[in-house]
Amino acid sequence: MAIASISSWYAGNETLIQNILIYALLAFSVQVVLRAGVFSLAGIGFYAIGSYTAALLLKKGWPTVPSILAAVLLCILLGYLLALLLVRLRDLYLAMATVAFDLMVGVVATNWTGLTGGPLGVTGIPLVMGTLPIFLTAVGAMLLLGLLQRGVLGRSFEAIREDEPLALTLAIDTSRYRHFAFVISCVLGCLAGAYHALLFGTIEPTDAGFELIVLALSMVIIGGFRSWAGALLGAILLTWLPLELTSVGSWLNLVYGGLMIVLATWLPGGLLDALRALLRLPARLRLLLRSPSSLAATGEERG
Amino acid sequence: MSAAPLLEVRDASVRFGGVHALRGAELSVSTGSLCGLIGPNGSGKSTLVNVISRLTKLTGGALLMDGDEIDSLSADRARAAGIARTFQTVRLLPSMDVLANVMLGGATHFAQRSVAVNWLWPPRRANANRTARQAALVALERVGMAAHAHARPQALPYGQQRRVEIARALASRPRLLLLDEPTAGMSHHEREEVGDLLMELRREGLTQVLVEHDLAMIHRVCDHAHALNFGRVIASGSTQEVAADPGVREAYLGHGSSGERAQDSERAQESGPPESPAKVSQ
Amino acid sequence: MLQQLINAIVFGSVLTLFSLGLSLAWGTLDVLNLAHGAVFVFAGFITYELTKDSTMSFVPTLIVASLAAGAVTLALELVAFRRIRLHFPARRQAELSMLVVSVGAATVIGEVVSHQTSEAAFSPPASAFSIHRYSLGGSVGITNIQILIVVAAIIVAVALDQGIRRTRYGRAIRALAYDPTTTQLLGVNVGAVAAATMFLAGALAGLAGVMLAIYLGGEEVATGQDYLLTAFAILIVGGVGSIRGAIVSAYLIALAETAVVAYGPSQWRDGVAFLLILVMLLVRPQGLFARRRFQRA
Ligand SMILES: Nc1ncnc2c1ncn2[C@@H]1O[C@H](COP(=O)(O)OP(=O)(O)OP(=O)(O)O)[C@@H](O)[C@H]1O
Ligand SMILES: [Mg+2]
Repeated sequence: MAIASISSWYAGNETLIQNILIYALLAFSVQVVLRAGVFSLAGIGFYAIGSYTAALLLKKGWPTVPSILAAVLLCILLGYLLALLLVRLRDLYLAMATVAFDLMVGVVATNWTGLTGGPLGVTGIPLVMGTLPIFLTAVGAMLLLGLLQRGVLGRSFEAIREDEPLALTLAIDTSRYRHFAFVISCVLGCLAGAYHALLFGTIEPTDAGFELIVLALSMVIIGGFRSWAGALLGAILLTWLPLELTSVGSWLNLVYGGLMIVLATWLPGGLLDALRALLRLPARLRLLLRSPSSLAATGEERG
Repeated sequence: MSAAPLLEVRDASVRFGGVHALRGAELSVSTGSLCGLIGPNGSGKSTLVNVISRLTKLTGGALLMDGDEIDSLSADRARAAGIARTFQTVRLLPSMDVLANVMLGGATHFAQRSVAVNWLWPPRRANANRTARQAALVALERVGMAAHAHARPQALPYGQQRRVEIARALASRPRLLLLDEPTAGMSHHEREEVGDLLMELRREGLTQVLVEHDLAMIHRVCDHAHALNFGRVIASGSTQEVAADPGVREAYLGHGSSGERAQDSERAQESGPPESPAKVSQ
Repeated sequence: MLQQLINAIVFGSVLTLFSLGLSLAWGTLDVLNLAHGAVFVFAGFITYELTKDSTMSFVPTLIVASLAAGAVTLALELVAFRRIRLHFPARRQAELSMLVVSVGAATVIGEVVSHQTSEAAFSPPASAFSIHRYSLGGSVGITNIQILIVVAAIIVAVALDQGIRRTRYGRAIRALAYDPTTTQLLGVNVGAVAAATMFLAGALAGLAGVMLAIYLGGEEVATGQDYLLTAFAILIVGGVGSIRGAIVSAYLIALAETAVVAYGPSQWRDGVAFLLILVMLLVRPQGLFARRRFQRA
């Protein structure tokens, strides 16, 4: 009974779940750099590179796994080189350069007709991808990102974000750490793009444009950029809500936009932070009732 | 007493655009000594500390540790090589508790190793977390802050935040400790305690450079002192000699108009909490 | 050839009007305002609303639409940017938050406009501004709106450049760009200067938006984005915070893009801006014309 209803629910929502997983990977790619204080949006450009590479190799007759692996390797290489090029840039300058990179990838994809099919994009990609591999990849990414934000290593990234000179005096080689986060971001973007192409069978050069940058950034900011869980929350909300709130329909973007303004101004930790604060509330109240003065001293929580 | 110098600063100069923060400063700190550094506001003390901790590049001159040049060392390497510091304005991270802050100071060895391996190799992670925690607890105990390990730094009084900073610097067991006005904003009693701590550390053989406005404190804890003015060392020697130096008195008390200047001990307090965040590396 | 040059100069003038506000906001307040393009289109939309039933003539429309654009940007400053500046002491966090706010604002404004216009391109009626074309011999000619755009750009550019150099407000702006904390300590009302700057930035975008709506005969929400990206290239080439740099590079980029469209592979037109941004950031991040102290990279 229960199994039957679950599987029918799943059948009805499979595309939604696939979309959530792919967007989650893309959101992770933005979150992992923002958490390290690296203001890179290059993940979206690598989404395009990953989708084209995997799709074109597959169409040439390569098997699935090698196509995806080749895309990932290419992205590691390109990401590493790009990081070397952009090593001097920080903050808004880096954001600008990576946005320019993303859009440049789109321009190249539109105009290198011989390779990419030009404005028409790529169609007829073999649909070799199922939900399970994507699900496993997303879970793997969550585990690894969880490790990356825990313990001394995780706090080192936090130190780099909050106070880079201080991090240096704590023996943290900040440029190496930033570089590292950058490449991880490229790989995650690449995987999201490759999976999307192999799952839905078409690529358009405008897929990874300005809208996707805004969408990925919105997911991370609305969900919360300090943890992968926030990025996941954002990906779920922003993929699922449009389907659910058809009554709001065309005003939905307005809600997102407003939410981004409100969150960025009043709650930079995103909805995840709000959620956590809410969950802590009963415990805090209890503590307050027992001994009001102990509240300040026991704030054991991770940012 | 006068062992070989652990640290030597030779003819150091630093320019920020048109500002000459250091112009030919000379300094020599012998192993195991506690060296005081005094000078009026803007005389280049913090800049000198930044130079030694490698946050600021020298425009000219040389920096030697154990007789080897270290001017090309990056700040993270310098810390790994044993140069630890505190900041004039407290720089604890508000997003983590006191223990976690100090643990970052105790994980300098881990921080220097490959990020990928640190990330993916469980034994190394576990080991780093364990040793950093132990080092942090020991350091917190030393500064008398063990009871507050799980407090948020911003919830603590300013004097206690400063002690946490000292603990963070101590956690990696440095060879050279640079303290930039560690007692600013502290009560008299707290200052005495920090003074005791510094002397105790010195007895254990830790070399220290102490930037301090309070001449009484310098007298009490330091072996010798250097006085800076306009980026130059204008006097050095025993604390009495430096304090008695006419040039130093002139620099400190102003050009003749001594009356309106505050007492030394009060000056230390007035340079309390937050300063210009525009100065990136105070 | 001559016609291409005229087109380039007109295009460069629109870009100048558009990018000056963006440069001012980033250079003095660390605001990378991604809503600038949306505000620009918003002004075009107001023009359309005011003139579609031919109720208002050109000059009042121009003024109202520019003020409306300024007011929207000012609202952003008062609602969000000011609070962020006060409450987020870490500059990196503040920059990120302000960027995100501007993305949100761009979405909101774009959504309102596209909703009101049913997501189609909107064009003010021909009666809003009667366009004359003056022939300069042969097929070469220039229209009155083109002349107006160029004149407006020159006036604004000169006024802003001199204003920043000469007036009290200009000195406050420069001080703020250099060191906000000290500026505050010196008794400058930072909040007021920031508000005035953001209002001015928005109004300039509005001015450009109105003129462009008339010149092109229509705009849509996506127009703002295209201009925004070109303006980024202008900022980077000219150097962030440099008024003269922005002016010079606006015309240079207009010339380059016009040349690519006219004589080169025209589909690479967008590539010009992105490539310039990347190359400049790599080679000379402080811009071609700015002095070094504005470098924030
Ligand atoms: N990052 C910087 N950029 C420009 N000028 C700087 C910078 N850091 C310091 N200075 C200038 O260098 C000079 C020396 O400053 P420094 O902070 O070393 O003085 P100090 O002796 O530590 O003073 P205080 O007692 O106030 O801490 C000052 O004039 C200061 O304004
Ligand atoms: Mg100082």
